Order: sequence, then C-alpha cells, then structure tokens
Amino acid sequence: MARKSTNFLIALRFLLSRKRAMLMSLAGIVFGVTFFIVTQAQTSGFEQFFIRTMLGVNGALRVEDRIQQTMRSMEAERGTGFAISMDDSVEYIEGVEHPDELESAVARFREVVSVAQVLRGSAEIKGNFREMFCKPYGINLEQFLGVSDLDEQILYGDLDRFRNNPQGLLVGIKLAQRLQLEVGDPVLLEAAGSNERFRVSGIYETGIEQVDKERVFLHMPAARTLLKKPFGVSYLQVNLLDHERAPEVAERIERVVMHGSMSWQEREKTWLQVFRALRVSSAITVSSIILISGLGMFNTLVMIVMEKTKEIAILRSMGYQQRDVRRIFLWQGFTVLSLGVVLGCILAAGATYAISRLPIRIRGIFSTDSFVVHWSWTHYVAAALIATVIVMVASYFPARRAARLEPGDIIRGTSG
Amino acid sequence: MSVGSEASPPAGSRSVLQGKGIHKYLGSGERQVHVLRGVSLDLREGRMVSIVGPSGCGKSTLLYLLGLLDRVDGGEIHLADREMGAAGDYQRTQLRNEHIGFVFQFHFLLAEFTAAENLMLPMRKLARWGEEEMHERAVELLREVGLAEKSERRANQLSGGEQQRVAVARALANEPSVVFADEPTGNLDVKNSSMVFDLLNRLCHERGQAALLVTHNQNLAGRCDEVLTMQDGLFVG
Ligand SMILES: Nc1ncnc2c1ncn2[C@@H]1O[C@H](COP(=O)(O)OP(=O)(O)O)[C@@H](O)[C@H]1O
Ligand SMILES: [Mg+2]
Repeated sequence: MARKSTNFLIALRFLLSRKRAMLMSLAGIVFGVTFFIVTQAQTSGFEQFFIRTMLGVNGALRVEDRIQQTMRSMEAERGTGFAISMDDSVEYIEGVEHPDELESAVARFREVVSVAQVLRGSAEIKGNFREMFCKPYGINLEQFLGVSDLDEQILYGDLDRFRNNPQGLLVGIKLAQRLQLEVGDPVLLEAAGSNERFRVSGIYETGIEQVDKERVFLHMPAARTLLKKPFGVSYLQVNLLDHERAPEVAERIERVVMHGSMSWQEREKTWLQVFRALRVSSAITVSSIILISGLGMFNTLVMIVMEKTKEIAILRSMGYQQRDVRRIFLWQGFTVLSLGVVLGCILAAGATYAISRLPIRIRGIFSTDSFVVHWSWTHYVAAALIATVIVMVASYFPARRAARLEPGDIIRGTSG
Repeated sequence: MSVGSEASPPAGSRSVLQGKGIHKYLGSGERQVHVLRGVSLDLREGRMVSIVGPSGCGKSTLLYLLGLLDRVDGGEIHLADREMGAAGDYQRTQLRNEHIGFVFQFHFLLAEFTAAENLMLPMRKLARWGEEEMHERAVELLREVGLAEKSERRANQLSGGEQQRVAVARALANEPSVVFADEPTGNLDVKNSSMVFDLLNRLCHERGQAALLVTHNQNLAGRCDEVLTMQDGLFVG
C-alpha cells in the first residue's frame, strides 16, 4: 500500500521535472481523443440518420417476386403448410400474385410489427401545363403508415385531406417544385394509355432525392384503376421489431413464403459501405494524432530515464526493486494517459454538442438543417482503448530500460 | 575502546557481515581484469573499518560486492545468516533495503524531493512505519546531522556539505546492520569532511551499526577502529 503510492509519488515528481515535454504529449493525447470521438460521432451520426431516413421511406425489408419451385419441396415448419425449396437454381416471377395470403403469412413472423401492400407503376404526371415522368405508388394509407414515417414527411397539406379524397395524391417536394404544384392543385396522371384526374392533397419531403423527385402516393383502388392492375401488388413493405435483425428475418421469410425477400442492409449496401469506409478512415487518420503523441511520450520518457539514471541507481541501492522502477515509469505514462483520456472525453462531449448545433443544409440522401451527431459510449471506449494501447506501449520500453539499469555500474561511473 | 589501526574486536561484538575469499573479475575478453583476488573480512556491530589503498586497487569493487550491489565470481558473503554472494537481484535488493545503508562520493539525493522526503524513500520501501512516524523519524535523523530546520527544503537548495549530511542520515534511515561509505568526503572541503566523518563515526558507535569506510584521507582512516590496506586486489600488511 505504502509502496504503491510511493512509486506513484516518485513518478509524479519525475514527470514534473519535464513539465513542458509532458504537457505537449498530454495535449496530443487530449486532442487525439477529442478528434477521434468527434469524428466518430459525426460520421456515425450521419450514418444513423441515413438509416433512419431510409427505414422511414422503404421499411426494414421488402417481400417481392415469387420464387418458382423447380424442384422438390418440403414443409418448413411443421403444421404451417409452408414449403421450402431444396434447389439452388430458382426462378423469380415478378410481383406478388396473392397479396392478402402473403401478408397474413408474413405477419405471422414474431419479429414482424406491420406489413403493407404496395403497387408500383410508372406514369406521366401533368399539371400547370407541364409534364413529367413519375412513379405512382398505390398504398392503403393506414397500413402504409405502419411501415413508414410518411406522416412525419408531410411538408404542406395534410394526411386527412388525402385520407378523405379517393383521388387524392401525395407528391414529392422535388417533383412539386418542378411542376410548380401547390396543395389543392389538380393534376392528370397518364398510364397504360388512359388518363385519371387527381388532386394534390399533400407535398412530402424524405430528403432522398430519388424519391422526392418521382414518387407519388395514391390510394390503392385508384392505383389499380390507373395502372390497370386489378389483382396482385408489386411488393410488401415490412416493419420489424429490431431492424438490426432484418437480414436473418428476410432469409427466413424467403425460405418459408417462397418470395424473394430483401433486408435494408442488402438493399442499401453501397451507401452503408460508403459510411463504414468514411468512419474507419477517419478513425485511422485521427488515431495517427494519438500515435504521434505516443511517440512524443516515448521520447520524453527515454529522456527522463537518461536524466534520472543516478536517481534510479540510488533508489535501487536503497532497496527499490526492478519492478518498482518499471512501475515508476509506467505510472508516468499512465498518469498522462488518464489525464489525456478524461480531458479528451470531456472536450469531445462539449465539441460534439457544439457541432450538433452547427447549421448545415443537406439534401440528397437525407434531409437535415444541422450537423447530425450520434452519441455513443462505444466511441469513448474506443478512443480510450486506442490511446491506452499506444501510450502504454510507448511507456513500456523506456520503463523496461530503466528497470534493467545496473545500479553498481552507474554508481561506479560517478566516483573517482 | 581503542582508537587506531589493527584494533582487535571488543569482546561480545557480534559479527554482522563476513566476506570470505572474494574474487571478482571486471571487463570481458582480453581486457578482463582480476580485480579482487581472494579478499576476506569481518564487519562487527559498532565497529568502523576503513580501507585505504591506491586508486584502482579494487576498494569500490569490494564495497559494491559486500553491499550486495554486485555479484561475486568466487567466495562467499554472509549477511543476516544467509550466503548472499551470488544471490538473485530481488533478494539482494530486499536485503539492501533492510540491512544496508550507502553513502557515496556523490550525494545522490532526489532533487525534486525535500530533505525529509529523501530520508523517507528507503523507509517507504521498507513499509515498517506509518506516514507520520516516518516523517518524525526523518526529522529526528536530520536533527542528528544538524539539519532539522532544513528538513522541508528541497535537496537541490542545500549546500554540498549539507547534501552529504542528508545522505548520511538517509543511509541510517532503516536502521541498517551495515553502513558502506565510499569516499564520502571526496567532494568536500576539510571542515565538511571532518563533520561528515564525525557524524558517521558517532552514529555508528551510538547505534551499534557496523561501518565500512573507503577513503583517501589517511587522517580520517586512522581514526577508525580498524584500517585495512589494499593493494592489487588483496589486503596487505
Ligand atoms: N567495467 C570495467 N571493466 C574493466 N575493468 C574495470 C571496470 N571497472 C573498473 N575496472 C577496474 O577495476 C579496478 C578496480 O576499480 P575500483 O574498485 O573502482 O578501484 P578503487 O575504488 O580502489 O579506486 C580498476 O583497476 C579499474 O580499472
Ligand atoms: Mg573507488
């Protein structure tokens, strides 16, 4: 007990003998840790925000094209009546032919919260003497609200207006801007050679450019008439209890209901990879700041070992063990490390908060008017771990060198 | 108690440390030197032994071996009823802490610590006394060397003579069985030399500690209980 605190005490005094060099290393660690956490909070903030946006638009998974059974099949779950294919070479048949049956089959999975049928097509939209391409999405509103954030995406007009008008239409903000449409305006949709009249009940914004510039929502019966598709739907949009488990659930659904099923992770693979690459590369870049301060730390400690050889020799001669000397130097590293990590984390939390208040307008893959940050303790732990590994490795070698000094040799060298 | 050379140990004085037939080689290869060629000596409670001899004859080497700072190449060293001549580093270090005090030519105080704190360093390692008791002991020892009023002063704010007196007090901090002093007055003027020597002499006799003093100062050597003369790695005369 007494001994432990003595090693620490000696470590502190040795540290203070090299105040400026130590403060430099400390500053390096503080800033390294801060930058690490802040960049992680930002990159993962945008990533999380993208995921949330995308889940709110397209749901956790989609069940679409039917799988043609070409080979023998067997019952998947006893008594359920569902069959799974035993063959790898399967054919997909576009769309869902029997949506109600499929919907109730999918809804039976424990992880599934809600299911919505969607009928998709393409059309020309005409309004204000202009004409543009669009993609009509036929939905049952109440059902679709269970698998999307459509209610939160409405910018102008409102959902009640849509709900109460069988020929109501929800138009994306980009499309509305191009056609100079306002709520209440009449539009004409032309598909499969016929025209149907609609009225704009609301204008929405998802932030996803591709969606906002071409997707229009209409009621399922109106969509069936417009697209001349009296039966079937294009796909089922599914919402899950835990969207992280989507790939696994998708796979099980696909096996059981014999329809191609795709999780959001698979669907958005490209973007997710971009975000991951961004996160990892910023982590590596910023870690180099910590690495450099680790090198500084190494330098300073080596310097202290050289300056203090006589002191080390006398400590050894009066009974301090090799491991005491080693600990004296490890304590120095650990002290600077702890201070650096604590200060870095505090600074990082402040900076993260400040950044979340910074205005920035982003549209394209999501919509935000300020920096998006993601608060996660894992960023703090990761920063602390990286700093610990670097600083303790940087301290270990000088400490070992100090411990191996032979007191006799040093003292012999100082006497005449 | 007789003062002078070749005094025989007083009856009842217990032997604390014995060296028997000690050999030591230094350097390696062609430059290897047979520094000690079978040296024996006996250190007893309350007796101060001095070693004199020409520079390079092996005095310091012997002192480091007896003080368990180095390992013998031949022979034995008995301390605390154990043979320690070739013991491992951990064990030798532990015995140094408990049984041995050093005073070197250079004071080796830790500059960042006060005089009292310097004295407490060996005590902290020994962990025999509590914090307050250690401090009291330190101040008491500093009083013995005439530095009680400077106990809270940083080591580097003391004069050379004062620093060496602190070093003497530090050597005695753990109540060692043996004190080794290697030319402790080598860097001091005449006045400070005799002050430091008197301190060592008085404290060792008062406390019944054995002491081994290496010195070039014939006058000081002559005031010890016993004077050994070394030449080419052997005691002569
Ligand atoms: N590392 C070494 N390698 C070879 N010889 C050494 C080494 N260190 C000391 N010596 C030699 O050992 C002898 C004894 O040295 P030392 O014990 O310091 O002498 P003293 O203290 O009596 O002046 C000297 O001749 C010195 O040159
Ligand atoms: Mg010498």
